[in-house]
Parts: sequence; C-alpha cells; structure tokens
Amino acid sequence: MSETMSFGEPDPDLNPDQILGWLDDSTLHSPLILDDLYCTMDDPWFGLDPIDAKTISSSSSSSPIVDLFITDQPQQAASELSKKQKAPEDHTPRVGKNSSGNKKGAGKSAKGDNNIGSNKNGRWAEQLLNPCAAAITTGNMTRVQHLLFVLNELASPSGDANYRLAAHGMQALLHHLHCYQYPHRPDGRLEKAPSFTTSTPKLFKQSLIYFNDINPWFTIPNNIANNAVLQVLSEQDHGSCNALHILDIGVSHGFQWPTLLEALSRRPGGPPPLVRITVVPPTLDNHQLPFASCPPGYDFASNILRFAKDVDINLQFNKLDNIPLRNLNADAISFSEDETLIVCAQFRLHGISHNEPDDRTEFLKLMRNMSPQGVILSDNNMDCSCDNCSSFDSGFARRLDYLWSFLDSTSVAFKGRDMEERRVVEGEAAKALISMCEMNERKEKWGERMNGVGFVKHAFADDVVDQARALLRKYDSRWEMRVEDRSVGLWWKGQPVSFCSLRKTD
Amino acid sequence: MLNRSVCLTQSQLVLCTPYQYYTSWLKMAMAVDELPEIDFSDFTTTAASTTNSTTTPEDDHCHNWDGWFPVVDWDALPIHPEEKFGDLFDSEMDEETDKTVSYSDDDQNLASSDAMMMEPPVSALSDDCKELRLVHLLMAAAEAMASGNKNHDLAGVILVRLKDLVSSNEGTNMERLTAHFTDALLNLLEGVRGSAGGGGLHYKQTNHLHHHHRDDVLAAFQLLQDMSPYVKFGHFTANQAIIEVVTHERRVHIIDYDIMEGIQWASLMQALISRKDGPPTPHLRITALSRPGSGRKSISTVQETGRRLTAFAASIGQPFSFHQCKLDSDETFKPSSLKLVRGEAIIINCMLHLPHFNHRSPTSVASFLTGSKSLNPKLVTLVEEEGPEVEGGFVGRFMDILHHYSAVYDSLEAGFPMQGRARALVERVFLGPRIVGSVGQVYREEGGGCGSWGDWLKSDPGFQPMKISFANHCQAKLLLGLFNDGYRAEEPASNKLVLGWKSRRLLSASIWAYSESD
Repeated sequence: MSETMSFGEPDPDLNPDQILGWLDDSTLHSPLILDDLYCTMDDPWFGLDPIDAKTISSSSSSSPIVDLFITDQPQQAASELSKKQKAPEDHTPRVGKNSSGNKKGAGKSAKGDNNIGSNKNGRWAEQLLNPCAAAITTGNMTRVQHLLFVLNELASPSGDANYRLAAHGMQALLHHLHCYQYPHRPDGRLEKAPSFTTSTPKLFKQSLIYFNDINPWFTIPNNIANNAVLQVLSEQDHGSCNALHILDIGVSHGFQWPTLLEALSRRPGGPPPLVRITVVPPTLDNHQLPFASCPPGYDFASNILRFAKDVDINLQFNKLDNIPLRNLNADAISFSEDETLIVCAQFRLHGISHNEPDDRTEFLKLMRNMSPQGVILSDNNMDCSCDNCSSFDSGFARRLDYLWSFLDSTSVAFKGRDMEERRVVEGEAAKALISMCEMNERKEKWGERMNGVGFVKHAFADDVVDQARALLRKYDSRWEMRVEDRSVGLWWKGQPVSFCSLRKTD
Repeated sequence: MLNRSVCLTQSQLVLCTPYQYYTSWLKMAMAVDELPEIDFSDFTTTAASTTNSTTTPEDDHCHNWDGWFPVVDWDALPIHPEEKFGDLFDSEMDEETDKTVSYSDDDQNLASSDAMMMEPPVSALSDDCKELRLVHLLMAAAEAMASGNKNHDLAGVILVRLKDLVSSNEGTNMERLTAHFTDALLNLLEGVRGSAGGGGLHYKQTNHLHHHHRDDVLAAFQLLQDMSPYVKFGHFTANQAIIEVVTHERRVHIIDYDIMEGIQWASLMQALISRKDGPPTPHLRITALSRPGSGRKSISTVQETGRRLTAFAASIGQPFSFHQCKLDSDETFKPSSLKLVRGEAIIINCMLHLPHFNHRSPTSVASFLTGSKSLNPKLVTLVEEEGPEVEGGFVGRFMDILHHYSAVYDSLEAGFPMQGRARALVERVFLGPRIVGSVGQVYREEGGGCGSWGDWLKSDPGFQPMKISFANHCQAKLLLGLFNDGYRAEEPASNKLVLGWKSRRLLSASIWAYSESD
C-alpha cells in the first residue's frame, strides 16, 4: 500500500485494492458465466414472440405493431424463446466466417481502427435499426414490421456488441411505438430490464466496480476530477486552512471519493481541516438519466465515513434527497463563506433541459451565483437527440452511435464474456436510447454556455493530464486521450466519447 | 387414361410413346449390369420393377403405362391442403391488386399495398410462424446484398442465423427451400468477398452435378421425370412442333443447344418411327453443342449421349447421325463450323434452365440464337423458365425466384406428399443448384433488363411466332392430367404454352419460324 496520489508526484500505478478496501466486499469475485437470464417466459424484457394470433393490418390503428411483440401466449412463447435463447448463446462463439461473432467482432473492430473516423465496419445492427427508425418516422408500418421481425431474429442480449445493440435498440423502438400507441399506459417492459435501479445493491456495486476496473468510461473523468480538486486547492493563495466543500452532481455513486480522500490525507501540509461532500442524487421522478440512479437501499454514506476515519479525514457527508437541481443554492447546500467550494458535475447536467425554458443556462447561473472556486464539468461529447434538435430517426441514430461506443468498448473490456455485471451496466447505458432527458451537447457548446454565465476555462495542470494518461494505459489501446483547447477528451476508436474541463469564475 | 390416349392418332401424339423406353435405355446404355443403388423405398412407383424388363419397340406402349407412372390414383388424390406460403405470395402477386411491388434499392420502401407480408392472417401454428420469419430473413439478407446497400456484414449475420434455422434435408418445404436460398446468397457473399479489388463479379459456371454421386444424379433425374411434368412438358411440346413441321421432310437436322442426356431425342425418334401413316422416316441428324471441360459434370458427356442415341436409333431403325459442335470457353457459337447438308430442314432446339440443367450465361444463349439465324432454320423451339414477374432491383427479383421455386416445391409435394426423401434428393441435386444459378444471374444483372428469351426472339423481326397446334395443346393438357391437378397449361400467346402450378407460371415453351428479314 505504498502508492500515493499526492499531487506533484506523478504516480502511474494505481492500486485499486486499497481504494476498494473500504467496501464490504473487498475482493473481486471471479467473473461468473451466467446462464441466460431471459430464458423464462415471464420475462418480458426479451420475451418477444413475433407472431401473435391477431391479424395484422397496417391500416387499422387498433392492432398496433407493438402488440405483435407482446407475448400473449406464454406456452408458445416459452418454446419459441427457449429455442431462440439457446441459439444466440451457442452460436456466437462458433459463428462462421461470414459473420461478426464474438471473436470476429473484436477482430473486425481492430480492422476498423485503421481508418480513424470511419468506424462503420462491422456495425450491422444499426443497418437494421436506423432504417426501422426512419420507417417509423415516415409511417411505413409494413417496413417497420419487416425490420422488427428481422431484428427479433438476430437480437440477443448475450452476443457481441452488435447483437446487444440490436436487442437494446429493438426494445427502444418497441417502447417508442408503445408510447405512441398507448400514451397513457406504462411500458411494463422497462421495469424488468437490467439496470442500476433494478439490481440488488450488491450486484450494483459489483457491476460498477468491475466495470470501472476494465473500462475507463468513468474512471478517467473521475481521476481527472479528483486531481483537478487537488489542483484547485494547491492554486489557492491562502494556504490550506479552508474547509473543502465538494458538490457532487455526478454518477460515481461514491466510488470516486475515497481516492481523493486518500490523496488529501497525504498532502504535504495535511488534509483540509474539514472535508464536506454534498451529493445531489437525481430526483425520484427522473429514472431515465443513464447511470444517475442507484438501487433503493444502496447507501454509501456509512462506508465513506468509515473510510474517511481510516485515513484521518474529517468528513462531513450530506445527501440532498429529492432536491431538484434548479433548487440548488448556497442555502440548500449549507454553504459557508470560508469554504472552498468545488462543483463536480459529471454526466448529469446534460439531463437539464436546454429547450424553452432554458433550464440549463438557468442552472449554470445558479452555480455561478454560488461562486465556487472551481467547476469540473464532464459530459458526453455528442450532438443532441431530443425532439427539438433532431427528427426521431436522426436522433435515434445518434443515440445508437453513443450506445455502440459503450457496448463495443465494454465488449472488449469484458473480453467478450457475458456476465450479469456486464448486462447491468449495458442496460443502464441503454437508457440513453429512450430517455427523454438526454440532451447532450458538444463540448464547444457547453463552453459557450459556461462562458456566457461567467465562467472561464482553466487549463489542467500537466500532472493532472499525465496521471490520467498513465492511468489510461491500463485499458485497451483503442482508448485515447486528447487535450484540445484546455479540455481533455476521451476517445474510443477514433470517435469522441466524453470531455472533461475545469473552470473558474471570471 | 388408356381411352384418352387412343382417341388421338399416334402419329400425332408424342405422348403415347412411353418414357419407360428411354429411361431403361438410358440405364442399359450407362453400362450398369445391375440396378444402381437407387433407393425407391419411399417412392411407391413400380419404376424399379420395370427397368430390368427388356423392351422391344413393338410392345404395346400404352399397355405398359401403368407400370411407369406412380401407382397412386390421381383422381382420388385429395387436393393438397392450400400450400401455406403459396397463399402468402398469392396476395403479393395478385393481379387485381396494385402490382407495383417495386423494390428499387435506393429507397427501400415496399409497395404500400398492405398485402405484402401481412396477409393472409398468420395463424398461431408455429410452422407458419417459422415460415414467415424465414421469409423476412431471406428478404432482409437479399436487401443487405443488393448493390445499393452492400451491407455484407449484415448479410453474413442473417445468413448465419438462417443456417441455424433450416436444413436442406429436413423440415417443411419452406425450410428446405430457405436452406437452398441461403446457400445461394452465401455463394454470392463469398464471391463478393473473395473477389480482390472489388472488381466485377466473376461468373462461375455452377457445375453442380460435379458434386453429386452419379447414381444420385441418375436417381434424381428419374424421380424428377416421374414426379413432375417439368421435363416432359418442354420435350413434348418441342417434339410435337418438330414432328408437325417436318412431315414431308426427308432430312432433318436438329441443332441442340444443351443436349444433356438426350432423352428428348429418343422420344422424338420413337415418334418419328411410329408414324403409321405418312411419309417414310426422315434421316435425322443431331448436332449437339459441347462445351470445354464439362466432362463428368453432367449426367453424361455429349459424346456419351451421342453414342447412346446412335445405338438407340439403330435399335429402332431410325436413320441417324450425330455430330458435335465444340464451343470455345467463351461459348461463342460459330454456325460456320457446322456441317450442313443441302435440303435438310434445320431445327434449332433451345432448352434452357430446366431443373436438371446447368446454368448458361446470357451471352452464350444470345450467341447461339443470333448465330442460328444464319442457318435459316425452319423451326426454333425454345423452352425456358418463365421469367421474373417483377421489374426492378435485386430484392424484388430474388423474392420472385423464391416464389417460383416455392411453387415448384409445392407442386412436387402435392404429387408426392409422402416421398419426402425422394423430393429432397431432387431438390438437392437439381433444384438447389438451379436456385444458386438463378440468384447469381439476377445478382449480376442487377439494374439490367430481365426480359425472357422469348421476348428476345420476338424483338427480332426475323423470328416469327408459329402457332402451337391444337394437338400440341391437347397433348400438354393430357400430360398434365397425369399429374396433380394443380398443374395448368396456358396459351398466353399463339406460339407459346406455359406450364404453371396454381397461380404461378413456371415454364414456357414457344415455337418460332424464321425467315430472313429484308
């Protein structure tokens, strides 16, 4: 346990065990090869029987296509399902030379790498999903049905990234059709899908820990954020006598902070006299922002307090339950004047509406009004797919693109193996396909907004960048970090995934 | 059946001539001393029992008929329950509805007609469900292959899935059919992926028979003849027209584009010899085109066929001589290389793409038909698969081929519902490779014309349609009457007979005269 993360000493080797020691389950279990989760007929998430006894008539709106895919005959569904479910599991590894099975999928991706930017090789799921979305947009229900039939044959939650994208994508399209047909009826399908909120706390933790260990999607932004906090502290002219207050509007569910606390404890000059972490979870009505919610019953407060004690940090921990972001202000977070406030907003702010009314800019103003010493902003670096910014099909294409990067990198990270943990994080990411509050923006646009309310970009210190790069080397080589215009971008196979930037008030 | 045959004079009917002759002759001439190991166990015909009998030309032909055709009483055979996917396509191809099922590959919108894929109502039977799924998958695979898309990864994935779902040996008609179409698409895919530099598709002769054991090929051929009118329809129609046209000729010279095993000519010779009244038997010359390297890839080589026909002719007393016209590898037909005799009536015989035939390239056929003009033929007989009924891109024509062969499979099953293994053999040996050939052809031609060779002849002023005689038409109907009553013969034009199964036209036989245009 010798590694330090004190600022100023670049230390490439991060020992995850020490960080994870504070968890109840301190050892990573060996990955489980799970039986097919969805072999049961009463699991409607993938319980699709394409053939219904009803006659389909496209001209009659009373028999919507989505009904085709709701199993009304469990008996039949079971036999169809069990036949169907066995097949993808089996045939993915033994797939012939013409298809993109697991190994081949990875191989194909490798080939695709060589042309940075043109990454469409081997991405067949989108070649069914995008036309289907287009057909929905034009109202060509015959074509929609045809494509859904085909998707249903191919989709599998246990195959490689393409098969999974097909599965999630199809679910999303069905959901869309359902909402269109039955605007007031909830879609029961969603409630059973694997995600953070439907997992046990234990599975949730395992999933997130394992995922972060093998995929840098969040690890790198978290690492940069932590080091940026240290950077901000060190740049303050009046020593380190102030309390440190971190406003956590993020998705790390507490996993990010132990590293920081540890680093703070090793600071030359000692840690701040008080460290406050205020976590703002999403409000209860908002389940759909990917990665933002956690299972009911999950609570990391006691764990992190215990950890703080172990590393001699005076930690005050606060969780603002059910307080919408627009109600945040100095009072709400019990801000006191002599604190060093640093806002850490990671992968959450894109959930604030940027349409009329422009809640997003309003929130940024709120943040500005709190006069933080630093704001660390990380988010997806992509164009918006909401109704205002795009048509259904072009928006859907963007969402698919995002999910593809996630599924593809995750497939590589898990080395193609199927596990419950993998399905949980993938299910969580797949929320992006249907979430109404996914309103991403490119980092340039965020920059404009931040500048507009009175923030200025502040470059990351070299060490911050170096440490992140060093950390990134642990992961697959097709991940890249690009520092452009003082912000750090994370790229997968030549496509932008996320950005991270540091700002101060002007 | 006996009565029907007797009411027309034998000189006018080729039908009376029993096929038992040819096949037993074929077998004998194949120099097998004993029967090959043909498994007829699930084929109830007594064919096996007749092959060893020595036949003489003077036998009462009609008397032996029953020995040749299956024992099943056709009239009593219940009509096969509506073929499941026949209906599926019926509505698609229905002439009454808006028939613009155009599959242009730029916009992948299907016709707005609701009928496609929606009707008939899908029952809850899993068989039908599976068939529907298979059709969707095939169509999607074809789309992925179509030149506008070139989604080869997607095509590959779909084809893998299809291969998991079906086998060419087992299952329903649709399942076996799907297996062959899957192979056809895989063949395309491999061709596309294999061709370096993405240059034009390399045309491969699908010498399918090469891959099958000779005995299987023989057995399949016999079964094909016995289970369906496909072979006989073309032969009989052509032969009847030939007989009518050469009534007073002393010398007849037939140039045959693809002689295969030669059974058509044994039948013709028999008919010529059997003309009880009328002029003496003309001298018959046959020139068969042969292609380099076909070798063992056919039921027999051209030379072997020639030897056999010569022997057969001798055995029945038909004056006969046989010649070969060897083509180059590019299959350009050079009429000048033929040996012609003054005063002979020249007949051009062009059998294309019958189930047991190899695939021939359009250039080769065009070269033959064009070249034949300089021979000033008295008659041109053309038998071909009835062409695609849709214009447009690859997907539409692919689905049309699927429809075509589903009708063929249906027709075989209707006649022989219990003989699954026999049908599977015929499908494997002949129909499967035909499917591969047709699909490949359509893929290569994508965007090009899809007219038939009949259209080609029609557009040439030198060729004039010649009327199909009443007797010929009757004969065709008689022939079909021996099989399941789902078969029908139509005369869509005065010079053309079309064999169809239910609502689907399958094979067309047309006859043409030629006179040099000014």
